[in-house]
Amino acid sequence: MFNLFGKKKEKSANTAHSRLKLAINSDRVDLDPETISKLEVEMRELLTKYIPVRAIDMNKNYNKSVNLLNISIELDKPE
Amino acid sequence: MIIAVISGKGGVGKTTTTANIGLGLALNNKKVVLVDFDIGQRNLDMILGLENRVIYDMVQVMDGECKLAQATIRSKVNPNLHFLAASQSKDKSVLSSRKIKKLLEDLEKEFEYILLDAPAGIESGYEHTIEFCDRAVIVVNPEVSSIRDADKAIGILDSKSDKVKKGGEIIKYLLINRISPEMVQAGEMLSSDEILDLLNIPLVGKIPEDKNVIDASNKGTPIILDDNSNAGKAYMRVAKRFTGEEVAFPDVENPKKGFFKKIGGIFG
Repeated sequence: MFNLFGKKKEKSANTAHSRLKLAINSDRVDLDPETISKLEVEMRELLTKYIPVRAIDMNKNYNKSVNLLNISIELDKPE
Repeated sequence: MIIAVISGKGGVGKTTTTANIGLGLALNNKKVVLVDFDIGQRNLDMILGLENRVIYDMVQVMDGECKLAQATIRSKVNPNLHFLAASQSKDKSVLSSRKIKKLLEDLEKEFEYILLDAPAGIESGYEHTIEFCDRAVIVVNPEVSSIRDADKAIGILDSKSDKVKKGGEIIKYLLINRISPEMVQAGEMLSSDEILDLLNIPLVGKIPEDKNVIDASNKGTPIILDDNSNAGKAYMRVAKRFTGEEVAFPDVENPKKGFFKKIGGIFG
């Protein structure tokens, strides 16, 4: 109703294309849970050499503009 | 030449594609055998109209229960076209790499083109079908789940086939099936350019949606025999491309282009 003079409604084929681009890219670089936990263990080993690590959290984030692997490292609080 | 006809999800027209490319090659004087690798399903014999002539199947050949020549059925439509049926009774675990390799080697002595109708990319029999192929036709519909799953099937092809393991490469072709030109024009269906951009493999055919395909499979006479059908004509172009002939790609997605151009000319 509001697009009468504004921009045209996006065609569903375009939506399909951008959704697929993202889904296929994420499929191709998909990390399975086993690999993620291996990565966590190895990272912890490496990091504890330099800093006091309490916990490591990893999660994947795929959306329209980014393809991210978020890694947050919680450090031990000094007493 | 061993060509596997594959897809990600089922129901996109693999069997119809196998039957029509096979018959198209036969009509172009190539000696062809079609092998139904979709163990337990048995659809290719129906599409070819050969279901009443099946006595032995490929598993019986592999197990030495009959001779290859006894199991291959020659089509009455074209004497160049031969068919080897899938097993309906035995389960998929009967397939072994060694037996498949032997069967395909024996077929290669007799036939120029060996087309394998694969089960869908998610099923276990899929990896056996692609194991010893030289080339693969990936069948997709212009629809999101088909395209996403096709990419996964291509991934398996590029990692699990014998040729790739030995440092070679499988030659891949994309066949887009069931294109609705009206929907592509309206922006409601992915265009072939968009699909090619996503999957990044060369195109071998664009088959328009055609009601006559169902009619043809009802009768067991592949659509390629119908000279008036758009899908049949498109399949003939695909078959010719496989013989090495250069065939132009008509604009399947915009058949009325000439007409619209004229209208555009009046206003523009």
